[in-house]
Amino acid sequence: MTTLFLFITGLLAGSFGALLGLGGGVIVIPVLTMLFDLPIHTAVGVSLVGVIATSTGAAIIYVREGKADIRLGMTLELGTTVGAVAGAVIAGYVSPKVLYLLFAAMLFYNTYAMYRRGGEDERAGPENGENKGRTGIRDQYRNIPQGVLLSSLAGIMSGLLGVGGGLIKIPVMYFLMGVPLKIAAATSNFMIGVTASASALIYFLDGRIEPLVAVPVALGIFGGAIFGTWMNDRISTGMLRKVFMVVFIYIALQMFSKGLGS
Amino acid sequence: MGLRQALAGAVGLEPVALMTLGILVLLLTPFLRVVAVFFSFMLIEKDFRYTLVSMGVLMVLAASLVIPGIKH
Repeated sequence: MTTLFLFITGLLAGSFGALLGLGGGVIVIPVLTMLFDLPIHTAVGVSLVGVIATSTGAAIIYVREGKADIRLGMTLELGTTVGAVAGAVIAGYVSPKVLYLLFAAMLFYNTYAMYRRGGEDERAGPENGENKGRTGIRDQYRNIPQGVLLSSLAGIMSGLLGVGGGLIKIPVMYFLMGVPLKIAAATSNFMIGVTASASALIYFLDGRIEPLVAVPVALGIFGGAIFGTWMNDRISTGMLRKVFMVVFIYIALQMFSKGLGS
Repeated sequence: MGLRQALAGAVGLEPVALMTLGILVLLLTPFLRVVAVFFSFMLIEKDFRYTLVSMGVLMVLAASLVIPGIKH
């Protein structure tokens, strides 16, 4: 019975995540910790598995459509994977309270980013660009070393909190490196699976991934993400975004108070 | 469940062991993706710089297999 509820949780997290342009982790971790009373470390490991399941499906589509820049992705991946390994190791040493506080901070920032972007969808960004493909990234994009360095923060966040890290990578590519928004989002999606697997393998080999939870949740997220992406083309998500901004602030406050130990 | 336990259990079609192995296969798919990109840069596009870049990423991923964290 619990298995069924876990599957449904994943399904909802994946659907809403895709509708809002977020990964499933932002939603699934609060639900697993607050409704299922799982330790946050377990929830993070489970979420990482879900992140990889989703990105393996999504990356295929994005790369085939030629939106993701593999050269750019691979270069930034040098930073994110190192960060992800560091994050996974650090996660073993910090207390659940610290993770709650960090997750709450990430949620606040996430909500702020949603608010600033307004009702706009990432894909409807003002700047569209064609992927130049073979010319190599050096000719088109700037601040590459700084981009790699900042991407490692996205990796640390992924390894510590079990989320994809698009929240950091997309702004880094767009504002710092001058990558068109569409390509930045697609490249971020291409990278997420590789980044998450760098930390997930450490979690896995330490026995920190609970298969009886991870399998139903990951399957749910995977199915939900497909459904959410399909729905995204058919409905307006403006209202949903507003609802979730309120929900996220509520969850962030809850986690913040858990982190302070009340 | 340790990897050795999982392998042994999977032979006997033990459910949790099979799930554990299934997760491992899933976790290794991004790894394979980078391997594919590496060979595509090296053999098809003959792009030396990005062959090195993807080799770097592969080395970090390989390191994640041996770097121990701790169980919480």
